[in-house]
Amino acid sequence: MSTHHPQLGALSYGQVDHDILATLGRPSRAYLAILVFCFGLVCIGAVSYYHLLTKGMGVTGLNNPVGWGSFITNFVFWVGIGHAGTLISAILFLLRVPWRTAIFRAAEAATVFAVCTAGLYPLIHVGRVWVAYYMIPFPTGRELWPNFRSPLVWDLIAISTYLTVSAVFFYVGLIPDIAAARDRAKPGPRQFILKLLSLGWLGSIRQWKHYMGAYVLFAALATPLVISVHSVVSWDFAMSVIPGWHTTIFAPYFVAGAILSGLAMVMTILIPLRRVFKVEHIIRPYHLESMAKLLLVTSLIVGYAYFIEIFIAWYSGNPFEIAIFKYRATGEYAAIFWLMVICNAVVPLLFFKKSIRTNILALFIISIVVNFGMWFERYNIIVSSLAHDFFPTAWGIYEMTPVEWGIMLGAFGLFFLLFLTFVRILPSISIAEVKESMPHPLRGRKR
Amino acid sequence: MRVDRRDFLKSLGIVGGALVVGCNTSAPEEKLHAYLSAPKAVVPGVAATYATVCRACPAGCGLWVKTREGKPIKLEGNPDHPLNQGKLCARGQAFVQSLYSPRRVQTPMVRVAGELRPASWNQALERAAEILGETRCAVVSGLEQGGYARLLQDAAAHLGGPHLCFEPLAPRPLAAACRLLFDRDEVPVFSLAQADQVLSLGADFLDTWLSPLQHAREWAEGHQAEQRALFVTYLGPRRHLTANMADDFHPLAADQCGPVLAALLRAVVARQKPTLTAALQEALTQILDKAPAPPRGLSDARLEQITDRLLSARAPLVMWGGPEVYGRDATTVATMVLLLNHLLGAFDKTVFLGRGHAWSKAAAHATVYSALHQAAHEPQQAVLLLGTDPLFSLPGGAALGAALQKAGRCIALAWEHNHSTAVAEVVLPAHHPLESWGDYEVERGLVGLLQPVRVPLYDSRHPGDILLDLTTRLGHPRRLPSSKDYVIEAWQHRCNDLAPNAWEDALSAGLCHVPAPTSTIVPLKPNRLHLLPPLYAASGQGVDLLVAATTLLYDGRGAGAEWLMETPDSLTQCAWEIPAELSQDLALTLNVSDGDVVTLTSPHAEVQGRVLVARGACPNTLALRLGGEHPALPEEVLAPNPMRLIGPVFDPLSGALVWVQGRIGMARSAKSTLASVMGSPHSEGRNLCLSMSASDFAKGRFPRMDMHGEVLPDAAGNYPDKRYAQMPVEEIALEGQRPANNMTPLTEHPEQRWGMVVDLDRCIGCAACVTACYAENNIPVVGRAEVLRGRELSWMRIEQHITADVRQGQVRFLPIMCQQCGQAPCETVCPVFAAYHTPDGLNAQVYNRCVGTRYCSNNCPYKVRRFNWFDYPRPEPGNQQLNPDVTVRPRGVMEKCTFCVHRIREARNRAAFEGRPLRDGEIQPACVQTCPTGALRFGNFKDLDAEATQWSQNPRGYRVLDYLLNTRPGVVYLRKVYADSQEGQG
Amino acid sequence: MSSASRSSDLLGHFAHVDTLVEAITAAQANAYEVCDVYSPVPVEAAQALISPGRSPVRFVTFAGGLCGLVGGMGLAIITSLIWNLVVAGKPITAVVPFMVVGFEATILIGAISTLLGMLIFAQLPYRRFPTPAYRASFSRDRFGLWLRCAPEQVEAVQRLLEEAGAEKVEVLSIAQGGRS
Repeated sequence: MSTHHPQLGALSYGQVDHDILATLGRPSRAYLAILVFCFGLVCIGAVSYYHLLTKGMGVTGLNNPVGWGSFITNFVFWVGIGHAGTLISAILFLLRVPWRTAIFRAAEAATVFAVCTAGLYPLIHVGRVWVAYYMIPFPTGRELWPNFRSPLVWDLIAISTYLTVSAVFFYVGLIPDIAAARDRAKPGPRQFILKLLSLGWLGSIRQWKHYMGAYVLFAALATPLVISVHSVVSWDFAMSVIPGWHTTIFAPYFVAGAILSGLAMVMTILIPLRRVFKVEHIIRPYHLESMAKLLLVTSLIVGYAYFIEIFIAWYSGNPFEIAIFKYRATGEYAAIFWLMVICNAVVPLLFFKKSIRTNILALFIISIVVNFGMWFERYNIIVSSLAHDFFPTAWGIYEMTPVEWGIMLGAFGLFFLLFLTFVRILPSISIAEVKESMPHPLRGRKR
Repeated sequence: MRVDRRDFLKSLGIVGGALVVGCNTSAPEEKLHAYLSAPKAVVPGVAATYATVCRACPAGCGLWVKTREGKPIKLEGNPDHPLNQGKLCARGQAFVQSLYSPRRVQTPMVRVAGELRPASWNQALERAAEILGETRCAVVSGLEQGGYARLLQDAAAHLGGPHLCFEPLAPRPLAAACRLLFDRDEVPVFSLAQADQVLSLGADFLDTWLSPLQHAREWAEGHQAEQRALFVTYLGPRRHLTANMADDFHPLAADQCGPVLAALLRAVVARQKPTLTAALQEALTQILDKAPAPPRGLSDARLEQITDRLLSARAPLVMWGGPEVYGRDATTVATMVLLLNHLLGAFDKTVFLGRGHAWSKAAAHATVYSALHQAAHEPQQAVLLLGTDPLFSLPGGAALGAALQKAGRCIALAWEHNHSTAVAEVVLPAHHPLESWGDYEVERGLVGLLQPVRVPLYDSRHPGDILLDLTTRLGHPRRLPSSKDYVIEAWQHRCNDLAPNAWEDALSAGLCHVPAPTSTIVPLKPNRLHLLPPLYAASGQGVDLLVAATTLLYDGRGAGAEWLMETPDSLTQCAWEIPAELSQDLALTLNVSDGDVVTLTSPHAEVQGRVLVARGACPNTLALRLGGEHPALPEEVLAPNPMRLIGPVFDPLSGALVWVQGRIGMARSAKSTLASVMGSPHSEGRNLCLSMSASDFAKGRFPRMDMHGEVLPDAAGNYPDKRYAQMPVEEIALEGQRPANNMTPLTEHPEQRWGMVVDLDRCIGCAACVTACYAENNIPVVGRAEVLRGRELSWMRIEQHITADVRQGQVRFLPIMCQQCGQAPCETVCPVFAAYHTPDGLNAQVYNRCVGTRYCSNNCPYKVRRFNWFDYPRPEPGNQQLNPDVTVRPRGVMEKCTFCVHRIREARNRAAFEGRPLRDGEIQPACVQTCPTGALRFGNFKDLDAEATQWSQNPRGYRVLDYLLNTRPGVVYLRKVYADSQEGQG
Repeated sequence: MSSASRSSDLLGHFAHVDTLVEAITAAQANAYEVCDVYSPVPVEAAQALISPGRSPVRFVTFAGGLCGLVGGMGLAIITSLIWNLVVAGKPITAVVPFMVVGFEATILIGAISTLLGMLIFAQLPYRRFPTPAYRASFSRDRFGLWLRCAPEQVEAVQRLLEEAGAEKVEVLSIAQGGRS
């Protein structure tokens, strides 16, 4: 699989191995502090959810017209974050894109943890979580099964599939690196656990053969999956009749948006990571710039979607559609709408300038801006459409309550807690693939 | 629903007893029945119905009380009662809540050291007897007529005072005018049954005036679009429901009724001069000369139109009344009204004398006031308040209350704590009307009978029996042993029916009706007209304070019932809110908008209220609704009691309270929000609430609509575009096939496709349906805070729409309940089949399957689904009212209207059990059953002969949003047919 | 280990891929048994020599995917036939929406069977870890070539490996271990 990596020529296998495994060394104080902070956030979330669970949905800002609010917004947001990981690890793998190797592991980790986080939200948001299992297809005495015509059931199946597949993909990719870590580890419980996790990986040629064979297939399966998952998520809205939701453009629009947000999140994570772990020589500006380019492309797609949505609403002449887009741009949620447009469709255009997309700080800031922007996008789509649908007499306004903020913070805390824990116990850059992407060591070559 | 076994058995006994033979409620224990030998009437799980009389207002409509296991759970109209004919208004629906009120007086109480303390019956009665022993006591009760009233009179006679029937809304001026003109101290009966031209000056006859249900029914009959025989003109200061339904509505200052009447009289006299007797002419000129002319705010052209309409009418009717217009010159105006009716020949067509209308007995406010005043200030006087709360409904109540408490000569017999019990020396718990024997003679010969339908909730006694007890203690012999005997005596005297079990029959019928003597025209005595004071001419400066009686709160007592506060007023669209209605010009000058808090100052008090800018209100007016400061209202309902702003000023001739006392001051004080349930009233061209002009209707030009608006047929009656959604009947013909505008074949309904027809032309927005829905379906009451968050749980709502064709600030009403769509957006999206389409065409909601994703509600275009955001408290004893046939929904579950599916299933089972097909009209959802104007019709669309099906084919019919979403609703709306603009003509 | 009694094992450590490949070719030319080759990265050249051809995992994946598709659609159709509840006037067996279910199931079962396939063919988890010839450096930057030959050929093989460019050559003591 060795598409030779222009940038890594100077390194040697040994160095790569050493530098990457070095990230698993003794954690710094700062790291622990951040870990504790994240845990604190998780606790806030837990308390808020307990309140919600004991009192009822009423503690949220939801009301009669607006039945979905911050919970679904966050759900879509986190599922979106996941998509970059699969894109980088699967699609770019099939396309043999050279720059993926250094970053795909972190991206994949982000995927798995983001989907875990997202998975919590449907449970948080249903009125009776204690019977949420009704949605799962399983045989009961009444022989009553879920309604497979419902987008929510598609969603359930899609998300669980996505979680399973990306987790498997993630783990399989880890096996050789776990083996490497195992072989470097001092005898003791850690080594024992690594031994178990590595499944006794030898790196024998035969193992490599089947391993690589399977890896391509995983990538081949994950590629359509990642497209389908966010399409299904978008259908949660597109399958309804609500003006502003009922649109055919939603699937591609959401997939692009998801990748945009995902890339932004991966960038937001990687830029500090490479600094802290001193792996700038492995994750180089070249990687970040390449991501920035991809981010720019997706942002252009999203911007186009924004435009075409409004255009079609006007072109259709459907008064309800026209009304909702007028409302989004001028109503109570206008601020959210314009922030969304600026953050997702305008600011990324700066990446057209090389000096900006190669400036690490600029990348970092813009990636964060896009993260916010994508959250606003989901909020804008979900809330504004519900607030002003068919019956003017039934219109209403929704605002997030402290409980919802708490749960939202908790989710962010959980995500980063998982991620940070991961980067300490397992290699967050793929050792095997980095080596693989380097030229084979040949006789006569000096190290 | 927790039921204590003892109560349960007791109640079985008492109800059985009540049905078989009238049993003695004072000793229910004697009637204990073992469950096995339960009386036939009480089959557990099957509702038993008892007839009685609604005492929610003095109209005295017939009630059917639906009881389950001995507990009243729902009030319905008595179909055999000539007054309401099976219908019931919102107040009647909520009357059961006053039975289970948390404010019930539970034990006798005596004031000790300034504090009301619980006491034994004996102590309390002793104390009362003590007071009565050394004083002359006036007995003040609500409006009563019949045997019970007789008892009260006897008791009053023994106690040395008068018996006064206190009704805040008593139309005393009319009675006084009658006395003046016809020598009869009575309130005439007004009937729209024959009328073809009605002019109402302020009178809210559809809603609060005299006998609303009767008027509403008659209006609906005469006004129906298909054969419209009735034209209503309304002139008045406030746009209440009647004004809103009027074919010709024009705002008019309260003090301008007199001038308008004068102008009309002049016109009529001018035409009829030759036929009038000299005396009458002379008398008329006496009045008319005193009248300032011409009226302000009404163009001569309009006045002429109105006159012509009245003069050309076959059976005209002029009505005037209501607190908004009772001014200083009330008697004069009332006289002019009667004169006008007389000259127009309305008597014995639309206005009837000699019927002995119960309202005639209502005492003058002045009398009641002075009785209280004397009790407060004269050591020899006491007052006994029986169920009424004059301190709440009379001006200067606060001062009177303080004085009364100090004097300690007030005895209150009440079933609910109120302002008067708070100051009483002795408080005796009285039976609620639903727990007592009694009678109420609406008009001579129409006797409604009250029977106890429940074992008394608390240690209360029948007020009549308490009085008898007291008088006995004072050494007066009883003429009859108990109040029930008075009732029977009166019934025998009136109906003298000698059939063996006539009494039982009368009881189970709930009334006995010996047709009233048809009155002959009473000779008019014009010789006393000179006694009348001149019309009162207002300065026309400052702000007019109008006191308003409203659909839900009536004279204020409505504020005691949670349902009536939770049900949004159709005109304000506010729940848990009694706003101060400000005319638009005032709102502009004061620079206030909806929700702002204003401080109102009058010589008598300073109060605060939330503003609602009232469309169509007469300029320079502020309307305050009765009901503010009701003891049941929570703090956050910022509602002033209008009676505090006016003084105890009475019209010398009639003794009636002068309600319109004129000017008050106003200042904007703070920002706040109205608890409105409405998003935006403007339909934004969305074709939701549709109507058509009478001329189009006459020409048969029925508009249809597509996404871009309404389309009228061309001259040939063809429509430009053929792609219109089918109506139910066409649809049913197509079942199983795939129509052009559908992707899949239409679902088949083997036997029934339940449907409803809503005639917007008949809907007056009285909200009786909404309240009935609350009562029937155990819908929780959420309170103001939750309403503000948009979390009200009403399954049905009366929407207010301001469409392009409304005039003079009128609004259109659109009742919206679940449309039971044939292709319901809510069903597909439910992940667990909690929402699905039943074979009989209902959009079912399976509560215990619901997970609570709220997707169905999001996807419902009509927004009729309601989510249980919390577990809502159902405190004792209110929970005894819960309907056992309807699940009480837990937190986290979506709920909605299903056409009262439990009634459908029950009827279907009954039919199956009796081995017969379902009969049309056999099933009636609560809303349909109670609708006073018959605007709602329910039936099986598969049955082409069914009434509802017939109506669904009416060319006025349309289905909301079907043209856009192809939801194929099971509810058909019939366009309102509005009279063509009156401004144009004349 | 029957053969072990009559054979001895050698392990060559290599730092370079090309030398490794040379060694393998030479060994195969002399018909020495190549027991295994260890490498930190996949080496096509070596793989081509030792076990040519593509991995059969893809067939497992295909089978799994097919089961997923049939199973997914089947689940949706059969379960909706059990209780034929009408929603929004849609047909009971609404094929279009059920395709989504079918698709997701295809991916899910496909992926899981791929995993199983890989584990089976690559003999993971590998129970006899570590093999006598496995060295920690093989997961770092060294390649290991494990040859087996008759005891008398040991020197020849040793020479072969060194000539090929092995950094160091170990004679493994499996035989003795095997005897005792």
